[in-house]
Amino acid sequence: MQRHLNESFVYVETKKLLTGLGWVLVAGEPSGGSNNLPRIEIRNPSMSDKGSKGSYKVDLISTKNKNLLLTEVKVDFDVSDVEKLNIICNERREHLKNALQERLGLDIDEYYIIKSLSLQNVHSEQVPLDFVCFVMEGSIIHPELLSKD
Amino acid sequence: MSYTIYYDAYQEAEWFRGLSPHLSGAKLKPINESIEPSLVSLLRYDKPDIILYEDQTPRLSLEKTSEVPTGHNVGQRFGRIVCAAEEGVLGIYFGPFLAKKHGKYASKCWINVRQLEAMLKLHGFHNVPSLAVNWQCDADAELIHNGSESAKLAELINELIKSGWNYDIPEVQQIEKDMCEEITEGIKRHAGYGSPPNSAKIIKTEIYLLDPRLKDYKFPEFFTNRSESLHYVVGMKAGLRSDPFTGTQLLYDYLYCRTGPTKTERSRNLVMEIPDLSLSDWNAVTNTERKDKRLLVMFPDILILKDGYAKTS
Repeated sequence: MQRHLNESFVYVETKKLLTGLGWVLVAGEPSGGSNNLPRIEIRNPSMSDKGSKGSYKVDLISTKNKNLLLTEVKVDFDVSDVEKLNIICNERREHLKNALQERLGLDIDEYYIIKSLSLQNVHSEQVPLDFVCFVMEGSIIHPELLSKD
Repeated sequence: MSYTIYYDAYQEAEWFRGLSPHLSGAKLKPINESIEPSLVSLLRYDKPDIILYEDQTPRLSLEKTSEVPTGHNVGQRFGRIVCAAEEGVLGIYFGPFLAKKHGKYASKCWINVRQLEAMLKLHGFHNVPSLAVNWQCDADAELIHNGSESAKLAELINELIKSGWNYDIPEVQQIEKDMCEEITEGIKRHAGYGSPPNSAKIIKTEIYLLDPRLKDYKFPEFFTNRSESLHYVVGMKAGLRSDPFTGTQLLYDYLYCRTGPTKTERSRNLVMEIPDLSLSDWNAVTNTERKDKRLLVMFPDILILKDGYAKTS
C-alpha cells in the first residue's frame, strides 16, 4: 500500500474492505469526484429551500443484516467527522430517516446504527468508544461494535 | 500499447479503468503529480477528472458528474472540454441528461441543452469530437448506479481503442445523433434554450462607445467592425471568483460569437460585465495566475467592471 494515501484512495480501499466484510454499500459520496453509489443528502427542512446549505452527506452508508453503518473517510483523524456523525445520529436523526426513506426506501427504525471512521492515520485513544474505526493498515478499532447481531 | 490514466480522484480512475479490458493494465497517476508538457497543456483552463494517455499520446479528456447541468452550473465544466478540443484531444462529458433533484421541491430536471449545442460547435471548429454521453436514469428519473449506466461509454472507449482512435466509427456518430435529438427535445421542452439566456444579450456594438466606464478605452478596429456583441452580465456578488463564470463565458462564446477555433474568429464581440465588482476589488487580487484573474481576461474582448474596465489579453 502507498505510504501516503490521499482521501480518494482511502475511500476506494474502504469500499473494498467493507464489501469484503460482507457489508452492502447502499449510498455515499466521496469528498472529491463522483461515485457509483446514490448520493444521500440529509437536508434540514428548516433551512433554505434551494441548495445544500444546512445539509449533510455521509461518505459511505452500508448495511449488513439489520445493521446500518455510517462511515466518514479521511486520511487523518478529524474530530469534525465525529461531531458530524453524532449530530446526524442524534438531533438530525429524523432528517437521516427521511433521506434514507426517500432515496432508498430504507426505514432506519428497523436498523441498529453504527458510527464509523475510516482513516490512514489515527491513535486508538482518539476514537470515541461508540465509534468503529477502520485503519488502512488493516486493523479495526472497537470491532465489537460491528457484532451486535 | 501502454495506457496511463491521470486522475483527479482515485475512485474515478478505478471506475474508468474498469470500462475497458484494454485498460485493465493501465497505470494510474494523479494529475497533479505530472509535469508532462502535453498534460500540463490540457490543464490550462481547469482540471478534468480523467485524462487517458496511450503511450505518450493524450487520447481523451473526460468529465464525470452526477449533477444535471442546469441553472448555475451549466458552463462550469465547459472550459475543460474546450481545452481538450484546442489541444486536438477528444473530450467526453459523462453526466445525466435527466435526473431527479431531491429535497422539499423534488422534481425531474433536464439538461440545459445549450451545453450540448456548444459541444457540437466545438467539434466543427476544432475537428475533434466533444461528446456528451448520457448517464442513464430509471423511469422515476433516479440515476442508475448498477454499472449499466456507463455501458455506452464503455462501448465507445473500447471501439475507439480498437479502431486506433478513428472518430468516424458508428459509436461516435450515434452519440452525436443522440446529442442532436436531445437538443431538439430540449428546445421543445423549453424554447428559451434556442436563444441566449437572460444573462447574455445580443446588442449593438455602438452602445459601448457611449458607456462612461469605457471612456478611456481605445476600441480596436476589429471590435467596432463587428456590428453586434454578446453582452454577458455576470452575477458575482461575493467578490471575485471563477466558477462557473470562467467556463460559462466559453459556452456563450462558442454558441453566439465564434466562427472558428481561435478567439479572434468571432462574428460578434464577447463582452463580459461584472456589475458588482469594482476596479479596486479587481486590482486588489494581484495574483494574475489565479484561475479567475487569468481566465476572465483571456477570452472576452472587453471586461467591464462596476466603475471601469479590466485589461483583457
